[in-house]
Amino acid sequence: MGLDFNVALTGLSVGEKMISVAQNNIANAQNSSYARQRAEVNVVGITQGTSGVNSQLGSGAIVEEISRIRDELFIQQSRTELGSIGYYSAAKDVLSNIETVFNETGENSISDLMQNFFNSFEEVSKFPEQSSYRLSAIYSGKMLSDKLRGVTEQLDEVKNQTDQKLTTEVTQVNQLLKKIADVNKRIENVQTDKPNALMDERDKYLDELSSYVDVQVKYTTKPQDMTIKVGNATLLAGTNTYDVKAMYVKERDEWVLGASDVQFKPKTGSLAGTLNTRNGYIATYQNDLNKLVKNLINEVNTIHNSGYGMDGSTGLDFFQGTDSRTIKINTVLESSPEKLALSSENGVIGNSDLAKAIADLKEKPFMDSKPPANFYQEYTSRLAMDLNIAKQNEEIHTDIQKSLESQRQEVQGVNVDEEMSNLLMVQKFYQANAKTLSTTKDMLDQLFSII
Amino acid sequence: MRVTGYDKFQMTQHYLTKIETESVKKQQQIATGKQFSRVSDDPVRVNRSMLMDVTESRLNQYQANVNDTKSLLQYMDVTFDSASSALEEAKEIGIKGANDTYSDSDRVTLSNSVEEIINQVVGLANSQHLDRYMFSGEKINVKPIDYDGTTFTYNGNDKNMSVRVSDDVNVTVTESAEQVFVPALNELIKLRDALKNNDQDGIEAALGGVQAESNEFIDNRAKIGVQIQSVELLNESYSQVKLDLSVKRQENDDVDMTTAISDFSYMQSIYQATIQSSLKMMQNSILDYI
Repeated sequence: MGLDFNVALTGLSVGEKMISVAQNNIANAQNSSYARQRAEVNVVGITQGTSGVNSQLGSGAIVEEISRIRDELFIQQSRTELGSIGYYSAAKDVLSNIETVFNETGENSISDLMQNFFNSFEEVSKFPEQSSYRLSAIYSGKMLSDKLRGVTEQLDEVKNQTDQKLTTEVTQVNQLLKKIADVNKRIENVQTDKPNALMDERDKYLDELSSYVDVQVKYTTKPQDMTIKVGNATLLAGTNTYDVKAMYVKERDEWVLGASDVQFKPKTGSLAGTLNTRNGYIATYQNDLNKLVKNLINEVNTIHNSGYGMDGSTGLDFFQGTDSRTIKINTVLESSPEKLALSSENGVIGNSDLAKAIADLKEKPFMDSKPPANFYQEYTSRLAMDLNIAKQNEEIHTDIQKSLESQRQEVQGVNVDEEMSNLLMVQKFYQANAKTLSTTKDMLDQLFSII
Repeated sequence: MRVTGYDKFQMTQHYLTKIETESVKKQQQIATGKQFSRVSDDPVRVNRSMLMDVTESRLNQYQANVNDTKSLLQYMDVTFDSASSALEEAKEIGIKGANDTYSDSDRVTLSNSVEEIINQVVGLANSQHLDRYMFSGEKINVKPIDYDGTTFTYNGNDKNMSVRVSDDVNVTVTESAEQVFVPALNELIKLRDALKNNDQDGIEAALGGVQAESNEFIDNRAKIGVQIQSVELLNESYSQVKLDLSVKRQENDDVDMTTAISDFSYMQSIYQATIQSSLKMMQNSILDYI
């Protein structure tokens, strides 16, 4: 063949592609889901002739494919960790709200008011004939029951907020699923098995999705035919999505998740964290508080019922209501403190056996064979421990995720300096190819000038 | 190892957030002077602190009980003192009456004086402290003794109110007038009647009885004195325990300022160093050279 423009042209076009790749890489430098791309250059598989030296000459270079440089293992691990962070962070948020509701280290906490309540009965046992002491005992009971009701209401509020968060998160998961299905549709339309940009976009949504719920993603040979599952429930198959639904089971005061009529329980992700704290922690804390209040009402009323007030009244309840939501002081006592039954003998007002008996309840092991104050302390410690575990786990998983993310970025992230030096290299490469082209042209010109 | 620009930025942000969280925690400790502001900051410490709260509250209650007990016992002591002086006075009158130099009419006058003393002692038994009768047992709203000139009717009961001053010590703070006053009053009646009836032997016999009852009051005062002393000792020991407790509480709850402040400054310098080093690192770019 001799002098030929084609070989130089293949070089130039390879250079152009490489510059395009560098441009795209630099443009996506701040996108953590983006996998940097590389132009895979190969020789053109045609020899210039079939015999002699010509059969030994090559025909230039060609960009075979633009590959994405990524490590699926790091990506999966990083996503799992994102899920754990989401889980513990959701649990932490709710538990921290609950801790604020109890505010044990502040003034007028439940344990303060409980001590006041018992002490005020000890006080009135010394001066049962004085209505100021009687009123003070009645008001300490009122303050305690107001506080217990208030805390229960606030716990209900936390519960409502958690319910709302749950439904919001389900909506967000469904939106992400729609976006992924949409990307799959577009992949279907481009008729290639390596639609890099679309796959990057899909990876970004999958990253986000894993922070909500622990999805298992399966790929087949065709890139659009992927499935997303949680447990046995399919959330997405190719271009079809099956919306996640959150359903409230009233009898058990619980939420369950399902998709395409299959129930599933996410293990990690903020959806799992919110769901578990809603169904587990909040319910346990409310039940335990309720147990304390029920037993307290029962113990105090049993004593109070058997006693006599200054006016001979008997059989009155001190507390009304049955649980932490309804507990309040018997309104009769508020207006007539003389009815407070402190005496075990009718007409003997100096007998304050029952005032002492109520004061002694603070030592009586009526809560899981523990006195009420100890039971309550264990309760608050348990809450704090649960919160601390969530906090620590969030920190630990954040650290792990950061280091995995670092490893992931080490493979797939864009280093601008690297791209810049590549750009310099490509520039020189392009110049060199142009030079071979102009050399060929010069030689041809020289040849033609002879004629 | 490849390091990407995005990763550099992310890691710097992560480190800075961590240091900031620690700094805020330290700053909060310095500002409040406490090791914790929420239970979850240190559940073990807070739990210990709550246990100390319970102990302190119980000690405060016992101290309040001790003070109330003391006030009631002191009132009783004063009453018994007055009663024993009244009996002494009656005794002197009796001794005068036993003397032969006095005439019958003089003795009637003396018997009237004894009658006055009887009324005085009844008054003491029926006296009120803080609007309560101290000598009608648990029936503190009932006047203990009715006196019709010859007999005494006790209206109270024979149980007494008591106040708890420690886990296993109860102090009696009311008494039954039937036990502490009526025997003495009966002796006074005997003396009065003997004087009125000019019964020399009767006067002598009654004098012995009055003397014995007067001694009884002195014994009662001694008993109360011992009780006051022992509750005061209890009070002192409570104060001592509270002092110990407050020292322990300081160790448990309070922040060691020197450590906290130096920790805080350390955090601050790490924070600055992190910012400066990352700024330096990010400044380096090939872009500056091409």
